[in-house]
Amino acid sequence: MTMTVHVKLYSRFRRHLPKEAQGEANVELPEGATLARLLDQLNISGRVQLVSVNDEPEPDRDRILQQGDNVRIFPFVVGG
Amino acid sequence: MPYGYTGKVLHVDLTTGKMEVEEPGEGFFRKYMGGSALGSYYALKLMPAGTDALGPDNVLVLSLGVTTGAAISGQSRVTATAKSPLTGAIGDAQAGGFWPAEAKGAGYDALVFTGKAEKPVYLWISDGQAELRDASHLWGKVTGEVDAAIKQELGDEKVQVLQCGPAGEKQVRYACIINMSNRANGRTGMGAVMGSKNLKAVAVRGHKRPEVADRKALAALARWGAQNLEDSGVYGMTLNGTADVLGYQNEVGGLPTRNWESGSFEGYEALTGEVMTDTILKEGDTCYACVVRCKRVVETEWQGHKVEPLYGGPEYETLATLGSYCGVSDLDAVAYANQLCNMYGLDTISAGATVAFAMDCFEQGLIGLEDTGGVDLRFGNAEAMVQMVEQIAQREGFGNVLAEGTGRVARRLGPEAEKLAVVVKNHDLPAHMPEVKRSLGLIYAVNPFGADHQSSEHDPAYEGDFDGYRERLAQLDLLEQQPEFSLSPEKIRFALYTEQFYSLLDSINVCQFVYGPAWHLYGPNQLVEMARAVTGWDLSLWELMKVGERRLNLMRAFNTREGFGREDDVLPPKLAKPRKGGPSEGMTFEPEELERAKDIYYGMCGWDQQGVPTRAKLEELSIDWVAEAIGL
Ligand code: SF4
Repeated sequence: MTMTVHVKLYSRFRRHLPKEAQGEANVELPEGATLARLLDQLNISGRVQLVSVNDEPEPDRDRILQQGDNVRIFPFVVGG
Repeated sequence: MPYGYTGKVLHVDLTTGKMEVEEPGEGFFRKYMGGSALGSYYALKLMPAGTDALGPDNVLVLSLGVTTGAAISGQSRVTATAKSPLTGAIGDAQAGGFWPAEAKGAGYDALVFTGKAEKPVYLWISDGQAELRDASHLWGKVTGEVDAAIKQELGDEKVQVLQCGPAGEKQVRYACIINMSNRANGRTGMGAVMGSKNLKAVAVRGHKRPEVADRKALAALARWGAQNLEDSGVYGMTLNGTADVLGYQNEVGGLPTRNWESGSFEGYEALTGEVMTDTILKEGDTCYACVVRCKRVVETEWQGHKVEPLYGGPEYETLATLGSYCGVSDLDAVAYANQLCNMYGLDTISAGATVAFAMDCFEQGLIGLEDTGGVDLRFGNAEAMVQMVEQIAQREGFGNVLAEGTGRVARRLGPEAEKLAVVVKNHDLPAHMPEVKRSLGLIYAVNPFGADHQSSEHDPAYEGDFDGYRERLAQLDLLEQQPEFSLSPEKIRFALYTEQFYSLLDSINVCQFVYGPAWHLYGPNQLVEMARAVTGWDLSLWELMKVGERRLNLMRAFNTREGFGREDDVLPPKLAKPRKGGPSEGMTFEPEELERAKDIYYGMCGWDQQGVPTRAKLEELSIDWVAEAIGL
């Protein structure tokens, strides 16, 4: 059984999706998959600064995702 | 012949038209390096106490640094220093572009302007030869026109032009200095000082820059930078400009919205760097020799007005101040207002923040249509925002009132308006919120030229354990990452040491995106390597950090002489009221927390509890002459 979560990637992480996706995609995962699994599948490692699930910051990478979750992922970003 | 710098300072008396070249010697350049330390030195030495910032006695210094013009990223910077017409304290602003490197080639490390020209003039420097020329025909023209006109009359497209726009001529208190029509010495009203002196522009052209001491070492470091850019934290700016951070700021409740009522903006998505990249971005742009290319060039239209590539594109700060501060989520409107600021020479931060403050007053009923000349100054009204920016730039209508700056307008309107003024020392807060970055709140309060976001490292770098950044912070003896939202003594050390490091960057005069203590392209030890390779001096990080500390003490001493003290190092009352909505809902920054932090900070600085440098501290920094200058 699979489920679909909606992800939005920011800054350099957008390059983990095809350009035309403009940083957004529906990602299929096995049911019961964790946040860590999602990051793995997207090939995101390194300096992750913030992940939020359904508008709440989620520091726990073992969080089990649900069908239809909205996930936003930010690398360490800066600007002046 | 020195390596990296020319050793020459050009003094220009605009009243008499007399010019003199000073050669202060190697020891002077090693001690002050350039930029803001050098500018503060001349401001303190040459300006009498209590000088009118818009009068002829103000001293305006445009300074480069000992490494400006070398073939490596981030060195092409110019600092403007003078007494600020906005704050009454020391004024200070940096800009990049190609002007600084060209100015080095033209033969000087710094230009010191005193007096006031009888008629508008511009200074033309070509390979060491300086000449004041009539600028009457350029007065009143916008930056793009002046840039083109000067190049044409000098018959050389490669001339670089730095200028005050019409806003500077009209002495808008937060008028900026512009070069290339799109790079700004943005803050503290340095353009108004230029305008008050009838100095329209400085055009430079140089064919020979000073030699570098160790070309091979410099080239190796430049190569390393190009090879490691993609792994560096600054790379997001290559992709999306400084606005790369906007989405994150909103996500953590740190994007000032509707004059700081809230830290998250429902319309933020239209303003992100990513959306700008996907829509109106024409290309990235750069400063001389920089591989980062963080500058934006946009092309679009707003209500029939063209937004032209010549005027660049909005930075993060601009998208926030002209956008979320005003409740405006129309990217084209912000891009157009940004163009107006660059055409007329207005600091986008203070322009947007002042309009947002006026909108707040309007919404609260403290001003009405009869005051605004019929402009419906409600949050979210993009037309009203653009109209006000235009009026401020030209000192027309209600814009003429707002041209005096948030603090002065608030005092005129009374205590209720003062509660809405988000300023420190009359300087509008930039778009990073102390509620979520606590040590930045301390720096906003104590920074000599008013609240500033480029004067220390922001808290997140010391709140998470990021590979590579940890090691660089350790070079500054910052070894113990702190929990989120803390303002512990260890966090205050972080604020102070990174403040001293950023102060060094503004003195040696390099870009704070390229060199820095954490996520930047190059770390602290690499800055030392770069400076050694360029100057040939046997420098250490210890020696360079002392330059940074020296600058802060010079600026602080200037302010002491002007009557500033501990009571001026305070945050606006609005920050003590809870933010509304989003992740920072209910968050505040209370005066008690700030006062506790100041006790520790002043102590760590070697200042007394009034925030005045002690004689012993000035002696330790080998600037005992400053003690005499401020009557210690
Ligand atoms: S990082 Fe950006 S602002 Fe700094 S020197 Fe490079 S292009 Fe200029």
